[in-house]
Amino acid sequence: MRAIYPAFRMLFPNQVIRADDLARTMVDVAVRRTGEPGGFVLENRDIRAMVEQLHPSSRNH
Amino acid sequence: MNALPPSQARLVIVGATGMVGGYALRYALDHPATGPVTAIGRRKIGITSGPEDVNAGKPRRKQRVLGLSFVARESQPASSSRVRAAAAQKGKGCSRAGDMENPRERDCVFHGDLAELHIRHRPRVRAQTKDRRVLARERVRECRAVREVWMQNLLQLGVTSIRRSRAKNRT
Repeated sequence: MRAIYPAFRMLFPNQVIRADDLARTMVDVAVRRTGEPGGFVLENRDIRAMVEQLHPSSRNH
Repeated sequence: MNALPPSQARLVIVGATGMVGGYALRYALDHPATGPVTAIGRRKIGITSGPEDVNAGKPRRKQRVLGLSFVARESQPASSSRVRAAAAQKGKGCSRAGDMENPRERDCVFHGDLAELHIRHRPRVRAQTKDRRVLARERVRECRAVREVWMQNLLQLGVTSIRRSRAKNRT
C-alpha cells in the first residue's frame, strides 16, 4: 500500500490520505476550542488543508 | 481529579493500539496543548512519556486495559463460538480458554485483563480422609471434583434427620 500510495495520490488526490496526517488532524481538532455549537465533517481535502496549514514541514515527504 | 491548566486539554483515545490511534497517541503526547492522555484499549500499548515531557514528574498517559473476552465457566457454559473468539485474542503469557483442553474442568476463569488471565481454584470437599469425614480443604493442585460421598458422610450431613422427620409426619 505504501508503494502505490504516490500513484493513488496523483490519480485520486481526494480519495487517499496518510495515517499520520489523519492522526494529527484528529488531535488538533480535539484540542482546538472553536466555541461553535454542533459538529462538523472534515473530508480528505479539509484534512489535507489543515495539515498544510498547521504542519507545513510534514508535507515535504 | 487534578485541576488542569486552562490551556491544556484532557484527551481520551479509544483504539490507540491501531495504526491511526497509535499515531494520534504519540502526537497527543507531544502536543503542548494536551494534558493527561488516557488510552482505552484491550491490549497494552507500550508507549511511555518521553523525557521531553513538560510534566516530567506526572505521567501524561494513563493506561486502561479492558478485558471483554468471553470465556467458559462451569456455572455458565458458553458456546463454542465464544470460546474460539476468546482464544483468537493475542496476549503474552496469558492463559486463554483455547489453551485449555477442557475449560469446564476448571473451576472458573476470571477475566479482567486479557493479557493476564488467572485460574483460581476454590476450596473443594474432599471425599475420603483418614477418619472418613467430609472436610472443606483448599488444595491448589487438586483438579477433580467429588463424585462419590460415602454413606457415613451423608449421615453426618443430616440425611437421617430428614428421614426421621418424614417418618414422624407419616405417623
